[in-house]
Amino acid sequence: MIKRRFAYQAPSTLDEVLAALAEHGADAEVVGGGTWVVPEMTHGARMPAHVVDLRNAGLAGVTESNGGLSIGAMTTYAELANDSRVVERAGSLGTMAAGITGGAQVRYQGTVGGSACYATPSSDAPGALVGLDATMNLRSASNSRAVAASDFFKGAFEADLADGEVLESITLPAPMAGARFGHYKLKLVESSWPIATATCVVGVDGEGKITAARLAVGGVNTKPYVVDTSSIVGGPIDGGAAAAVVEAARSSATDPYSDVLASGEYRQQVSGVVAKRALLAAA
Amino acid sequence: MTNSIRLNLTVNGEARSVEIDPRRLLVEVIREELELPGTHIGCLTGDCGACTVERDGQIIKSCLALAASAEGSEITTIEGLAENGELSTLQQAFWDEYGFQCGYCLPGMLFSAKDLLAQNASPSEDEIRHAINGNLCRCTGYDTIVKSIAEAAARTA
Amino acid sequence: MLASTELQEGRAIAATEAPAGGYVGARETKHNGDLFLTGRAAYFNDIVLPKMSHAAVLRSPHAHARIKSIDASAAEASAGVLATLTGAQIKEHTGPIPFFIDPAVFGGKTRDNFPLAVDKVLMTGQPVAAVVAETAADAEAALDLIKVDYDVLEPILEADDALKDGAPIINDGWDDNVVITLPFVEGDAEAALAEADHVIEDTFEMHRLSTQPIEPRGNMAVWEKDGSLTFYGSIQNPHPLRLHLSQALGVSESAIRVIAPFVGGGLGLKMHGHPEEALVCVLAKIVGRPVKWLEDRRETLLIGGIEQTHRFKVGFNNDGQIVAIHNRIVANVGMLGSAPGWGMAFLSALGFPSGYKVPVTDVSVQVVSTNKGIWNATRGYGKQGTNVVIERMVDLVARHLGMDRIEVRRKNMIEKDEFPYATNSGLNIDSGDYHAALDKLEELLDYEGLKREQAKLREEGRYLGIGITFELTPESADIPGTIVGGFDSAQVKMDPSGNVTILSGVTTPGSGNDTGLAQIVADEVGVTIDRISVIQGDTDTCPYGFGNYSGRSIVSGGNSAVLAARDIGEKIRGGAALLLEAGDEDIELIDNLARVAGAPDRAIPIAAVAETIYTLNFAIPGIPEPPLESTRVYKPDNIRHTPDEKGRIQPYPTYSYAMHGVVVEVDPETGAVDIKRIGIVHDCGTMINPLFIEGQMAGAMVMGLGNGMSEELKYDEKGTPLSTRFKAYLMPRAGDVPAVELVHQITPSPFTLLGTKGAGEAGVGGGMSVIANAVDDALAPLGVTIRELPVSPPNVLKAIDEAGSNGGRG
Ligand SMILES: Cc1cc2nc3c(=O)[nH]c(=O)nc-3n(C[C@@H](O)[C@@H](O)[C@H](O)COP(=O)(O)OP(=O)(O)OC[C@H]3O[C@@H](n4cnc5c(N)ncnc54)[C@H](O)[C@@H]3O)c2cc1C
Ligand code: FES
Ligand code: FES
Repeated sequence: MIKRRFAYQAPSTLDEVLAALAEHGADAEVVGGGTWVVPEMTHGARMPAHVVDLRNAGLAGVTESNGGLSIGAMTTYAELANDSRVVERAGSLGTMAAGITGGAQVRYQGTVGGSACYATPSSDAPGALVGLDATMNLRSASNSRAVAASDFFKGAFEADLADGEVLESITLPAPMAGARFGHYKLKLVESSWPIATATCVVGVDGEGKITAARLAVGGVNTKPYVVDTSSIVGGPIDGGAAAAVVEAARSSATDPYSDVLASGEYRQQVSGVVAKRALLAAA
Repeated sequence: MTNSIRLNLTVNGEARSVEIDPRRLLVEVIREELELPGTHIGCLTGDCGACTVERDGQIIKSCLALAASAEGSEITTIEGLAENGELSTLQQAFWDEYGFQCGYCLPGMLFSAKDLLAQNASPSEDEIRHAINGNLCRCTGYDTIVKSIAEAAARTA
Repeated sequence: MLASTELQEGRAIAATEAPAGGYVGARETKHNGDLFLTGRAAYFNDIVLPKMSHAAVLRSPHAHARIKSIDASAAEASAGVLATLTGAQIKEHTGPIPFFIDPAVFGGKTRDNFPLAVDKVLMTGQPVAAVVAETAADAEAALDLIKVDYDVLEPILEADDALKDGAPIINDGWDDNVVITLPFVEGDAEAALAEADHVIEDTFEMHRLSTQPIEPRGNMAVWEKDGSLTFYGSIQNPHPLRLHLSQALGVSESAIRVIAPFVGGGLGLKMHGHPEEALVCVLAKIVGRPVKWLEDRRETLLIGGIEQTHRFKVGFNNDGQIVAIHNRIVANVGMLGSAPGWGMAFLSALGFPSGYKVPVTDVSVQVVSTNKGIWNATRGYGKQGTNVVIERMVDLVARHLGMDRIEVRRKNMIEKDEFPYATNSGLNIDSGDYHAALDKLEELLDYEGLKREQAKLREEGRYLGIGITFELTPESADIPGTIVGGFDSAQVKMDPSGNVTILSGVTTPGSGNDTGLAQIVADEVGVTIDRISVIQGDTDTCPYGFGNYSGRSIVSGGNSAVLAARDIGEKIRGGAALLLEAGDEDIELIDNLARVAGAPDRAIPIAAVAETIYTLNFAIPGIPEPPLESTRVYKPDNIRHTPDEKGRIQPYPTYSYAMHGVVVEVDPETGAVDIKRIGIVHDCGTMINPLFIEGQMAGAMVMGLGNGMSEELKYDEKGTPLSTRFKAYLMPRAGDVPAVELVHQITPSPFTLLGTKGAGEAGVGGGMSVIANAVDDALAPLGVTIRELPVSPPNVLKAIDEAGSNGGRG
């Protein structure tokens, strides 16, 4: 049982959630799927006086929006992986979701919003969202704002999220013409956190030439970064393009993250490899 | 603020209502308040899977959930897998193929297997291994668990 | 409250006829499997006692510090708290925790370990205070209120640092940080190395591991109204623990009852000597209520093992014959605890030169105490240290000479007609046919085909590796002067309705020896297995025994059950002979019947014989005497405790062995290792139940592969553990390994009644050695030599870089 006493509520609207958070400020903790925050409370790493559960607030689900998608913050990995619109318009996000470890259990329980808000470098969603050029839609009792995913992730365990603010949804732009998706995740073994991930969207024309490309690497730096892919536009997805992204990905791995599983040096070393493999997966 | 709350659930087909401290994890309520200790605790971090149960048709790790968040849901535990005293095909296959040694991981393995077979009636070995990746077993090396699940699939076919 | 008999009793539903050929050797399923499958098997955490209270332990955040003062007054006043206890008070309540194996028995240093640190802490996580409260949450909340004033000292974490001249001495009263140095010398190694055609000098580092059964530890104590103590725990050795609790607490052994319910995996971790065992007893006395302590996984992960460095020279001739081994082992046992872990270092040295005929060996191990966590036994009990390093040596020799590693093994292994074979360290290996096992492995793997495939893939820039290793597993130890006992006992009872109860001194941490015992007894007394119950793990009801370790359960427990069951069988035969008017020797007992051999219609139910013996004993003259009960002990042969002329003893009756072959592919860009195949040829003598042997082997192998590939207890520079959950201590999952392909070979032990050898540990060392050799083989073209475990992707990539290649990362 969690040692610190708290009051629990699971409001049935987002407005009530926001009001509760406004009232309790830093004393309140939001629970999404709970897969991070509940064990942290169990082990005393977080001791909120108020727990606000989002489960009844209607934040789950995927809808179409302007040719792209709007993903509710409480959408689980299982829902993402099984949604045909996600597979079509943001394939790398579906691959990412299906590749979350911890078994079907964690894919049924964990949410994409929870992962984003937690912002640990050793996670899959941040890199995938930056790779897809997602926008994070935030709400508080007094304000609402939209932040680009690449700005939302500010550092290790640091998201642009104020006390009292909730991530309501994530919007993904319409994919570029002829879009193909690639996602690659490196972990040490099945039990491990992700060590480095790469997500790639490339537009390919009728002749197999790259018309536009966006590639992001997660897990390597303290926050996901976008790799400069300008040099591969105009050519095919081939060994030359792969070599170019290896270089580009490695040269941007300047702020590497270290943890018990892998040093920053190792992450730097493999940054190019994951980038290359994500690109080739899109071929 | 330390007041207990009332939790209403359907557990193994039976309506149950218990008074709980909101600090309780779902696994604790299942084991202690509902007196169904067949669901095990191995880590309380979501890693081992021994606490796996079914909630509203989906398997979850019950150490990752506040009990309060299960209000109104339907829960199945290992105690609810047999019907009228008869082991299910899956349970019987785990017995016949020696799908457990110490048995501590068993509740989780059974539910992960059940979830897989509900979606894929004849899984490959790789698919079975993937499906139990969320559950640790330190005794079997997984071989006999994989065989048990394959055998259950074969018997149901 | 659950009665003890309910805890470990179970009955099969099916089976009314014995398998053709008997139960022994049959692939019998778990006799009480339904209990587990329906969630009714009770483990420690399922025991609920009236008025049960809960303990939580405050642990040192420093690896090395003096405790200046502790103030628990705020905790004492906190909600729900019943009592607090600090190190300053502990000596009033208990003596030091007796060592499971005291280094002093072998001439080493020792220390007093109290359940709570008295004045100095030697590891992060060492208990310094405890709280008992109405709920575990209240107890934990109160821990936050205890103020401890520490004088923080510089931690010494690495063994080499602890050995430096002038290194601070961490144990008060010691003159250095060495617990003991144990030499095993045969011949003059310097001279033999000088004469050898070749000498390789190298090092190997084995990292810090942990066992981590999925059920953590837990203890509960209650002082009964009559002043006696009942102790419940997830433990492996009830009777020996009773002795140690009695010694620590100053309570007569006869006033202590130790109960071990079903255990969710032991693997060595649950051998006792841990602080929390005596602690719950003391706390229960103070609060006058049952006190329960349940381990959190972060606490389980404080306990390590194995960490050791080998600095060796191996001398060999042009024909591949290994002529001398010189090896200096330094083992980092962390804080010297009372649990039996440190003794693993002993075994790592004792085991050389494994199953190879190396004439000259000079091996010694220095056991060093540091400020890392304590060791406890980890399945394999140090034999993995020998196994990994000797198997690396053999591969180094093969590579140096350009010989096939299989040929080098063939050349050096003990021949089948040389058994029993006395090794350099004084061991007496019972029996085996290592060469035949190697042949079988070659065939199983299609070794030549694999080598061709490897050559082809190498041309494509892919790195397939084949690892081959031999593993010798001395089992069922008896160490004189300690509670590591080689014998065990069993009681077999038949009631008037013909049902049989086996009470055993060995325990089952899930290995299935309870079913094995039932099989053995079923054959001997002729009843079907559904009529047999097995009770283990209760010192009040079971005969004296040592519990579970060292693959001993069937060797000592099983054979004692045979003897006891034979006594019962004899009485039934005697009774049946009288009732059927036949000779005793003509009666056969099978399928619950006593029948006259060759005359199947002259039969009587065994139950009827039993009932007659109990109810008509005065009426029928000559009928065997009741009760139908027998308690017997079995002492295996081959153990020799009188030292030979070199002072060596022979603590093991049996030596099972295995040949392992693993195929891996290494990703040279990331260092990731993909295991493609696992092949094993295993010989543990007579098999009571092949299903269980296979289960033990697959489990041990996968554990060994995890130990070798990904598991590691890491610390930061202050000595704070970093591997605090299963996302940092990486145990294998189903997707990490392929199926185990296992072939049995059977050479019964001449030294045990049924010919069984120990099973259960083999595979752990094998998994570690074979993955090391496989990765080494895969990366040979890049000039890599594997000198450390685990072969995790970062370590593999580092090895590739150090060999001067960058694995194609551009
Ligand atoms: C066994 C296991 C395996 C895992 N494997 C992976 C893996 O492979 N890859 C990976 O990336 N992750 C993995 N995870 C981490 C997993 O917890 C997250 O991926 C999950 O998505 C978190 O979502 P959640 O809804 O459960 O978060 P919660 O625990 O509910 O919340 C996480 C944090 O975000 C806050 N929060 C949640 N939702 C919102 C919101 N809408 N607005 C504002 N704040 C919010 C919470 O207050 C909390 O601080 C694993 C976890 C476990 C237990
Ligand atoms: S106890 Fe829930 S996953 Fe381990
Ligand atoms: S059977 Fe023991 S953990 Fe799986």
